[in-house]
Amino acid sequence: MERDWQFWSRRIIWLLLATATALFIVVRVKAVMYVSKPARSLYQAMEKVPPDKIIVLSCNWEAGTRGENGPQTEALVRHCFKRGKRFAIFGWNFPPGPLLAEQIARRVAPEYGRCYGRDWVNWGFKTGQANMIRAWAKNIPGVIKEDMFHTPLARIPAMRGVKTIHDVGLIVDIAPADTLSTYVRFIYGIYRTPLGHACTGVMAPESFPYLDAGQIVGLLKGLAGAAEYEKLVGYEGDALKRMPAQSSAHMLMIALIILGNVLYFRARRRGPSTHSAGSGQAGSGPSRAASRDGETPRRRLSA
Amino acid sequence: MRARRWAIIIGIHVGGGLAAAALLWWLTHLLSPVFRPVHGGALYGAIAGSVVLWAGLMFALHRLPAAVKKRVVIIATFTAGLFYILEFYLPARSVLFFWRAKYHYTNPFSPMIFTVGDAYSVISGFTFFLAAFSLSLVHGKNIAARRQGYYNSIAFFIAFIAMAVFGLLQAYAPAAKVVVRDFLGMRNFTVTARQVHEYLFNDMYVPLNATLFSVLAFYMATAAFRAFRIRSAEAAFMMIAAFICMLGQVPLGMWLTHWLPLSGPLSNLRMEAMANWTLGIVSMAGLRAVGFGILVGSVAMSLRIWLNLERGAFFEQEL
Repeated sequence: MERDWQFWSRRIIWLLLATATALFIVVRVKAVMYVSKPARSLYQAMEKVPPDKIIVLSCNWEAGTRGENGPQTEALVRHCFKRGKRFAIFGWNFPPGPLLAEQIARRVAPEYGRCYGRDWVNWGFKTGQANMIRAWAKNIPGVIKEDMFHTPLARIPAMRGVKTIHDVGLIVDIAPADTLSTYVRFIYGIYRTPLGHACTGVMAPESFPYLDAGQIVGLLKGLAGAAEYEKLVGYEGDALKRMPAQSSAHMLMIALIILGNVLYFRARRRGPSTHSAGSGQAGSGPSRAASRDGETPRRRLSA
Repeated sequence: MRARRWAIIIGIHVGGGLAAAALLWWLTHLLSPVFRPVHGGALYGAIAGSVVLWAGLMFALHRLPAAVKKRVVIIATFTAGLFYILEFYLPARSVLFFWRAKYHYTNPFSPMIFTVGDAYSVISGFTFFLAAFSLSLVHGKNIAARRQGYYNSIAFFIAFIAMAVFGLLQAYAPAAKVVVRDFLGMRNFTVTARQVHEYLFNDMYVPLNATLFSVLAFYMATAAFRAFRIRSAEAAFMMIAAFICMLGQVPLGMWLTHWLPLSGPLSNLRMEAMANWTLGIVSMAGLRAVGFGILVGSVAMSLRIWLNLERGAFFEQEL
């Protein structure tokens, strides 16, 4: 009985979650979004970048977090295109990042009449992590050498006047992992170049100390951050469209936590021998081990 | 006796490291005209020459006695660490380096950072080969022994070879034609190497990667149902914080408190304001403390590795 409950409860939850998210992707509902201060600060920092400086979009993400980092990149790219700010796409943590960002930029560019080389440049993926970043800050053309399509940087108009980190107006690190600390240590710490961060939802708490210390000028927190930025730029993109689906998924999670606790307290009131409904820790304990091989703990003990 | 031993160890390390750094500096200046960019046939010749040179060097290193090998590793680790410490901590511009006054960065180690960075990239390239070799070995053994699930290893080889071949082709011969045979007998069609790579990357790698990550959401939902229990007051606080943060990030949560004013004291009770406060004040204090501890630990660990004080399976085993 307990085994059946565990088997079916898990599948029912998966089905509920799939339905909750799919429903609001099919049925369009207008999302109410309020722009948070960190997102607004990043927007303002982008606006302040002077025309003689380049913006670096450090795309350290890959396909796994495309759902969050993709709309963030698109919102930032659209902002640059809209305001005519030249920018460079760059990556040094996950190789597919610059390629995925390039796809976004190429898809969006015709809407604003922008073209590659004049309005943006893609430096591609560079290995070397922190050591490369330190050298890059001192001599950008010396480290990057050529763009993603093997064109020497000297022949790219978007690179005019870009020699060192002092020619960079803002770096926005779009990442699902801790790459921001490298920029904070070796770029902000030494050159005081403004930094922005666009991270996945789970990484957001780790970025707040940098925000509070003034080491980053602004922050986009996951899909919600992307939706806020879309609102600031003035278009309805993927993030705003997906917010109702995320709302329903969050509400479902809250409902599941409450339901799990109700069942837990009810089982506890009945007595310790009848703890069911997932009263143990997920991922540990005899009940989980039993559910894997179809053997109850009682049977296992008797064997 | 103990102090004397330490003095000898430090002396050997500092002396060896400085000698190695000086040698590296000298080599950089001496060989910079040799290591200029080459193109065409000369490039392939240079690559072949480098491979032969490195293979010879590796062979020679492997022939050395174990004690000498260990000493080489220690000196190399110490030199690499010393270089970056000197480059980072010595001032970028200082009258101390008067002989380099005409340059923007007077620190004598700063110009070498590009060469050392290139060397780092080359060594990183070796790790890719090592990873490919190791993966092939593991999966090759699975197939040879027909172990359980060996067909997954076959899938690995197909994916690995396809991505490697078309990844290289799209970079060096993007217009190369590939004939795709239609097994249904309708007709064969020709595509370019770039199109195949785009298909493999955009239509297979990207969705597969995204799918793997999105599966996490389903496990998180089950875990939330089964593990998030109010067993103590701390757990209750954690749950309240989780609810506020989850609701504060989504429009539905914002809508719950949308009737409160956007400014003034009452605005602090809006869901998004409470979520930002929880993340930016309460959670941040804990994270900052944890981060501080991790970084102090990292410094200690780095020092132990740099000075060869670390003990354990890797550091004490026979090379």
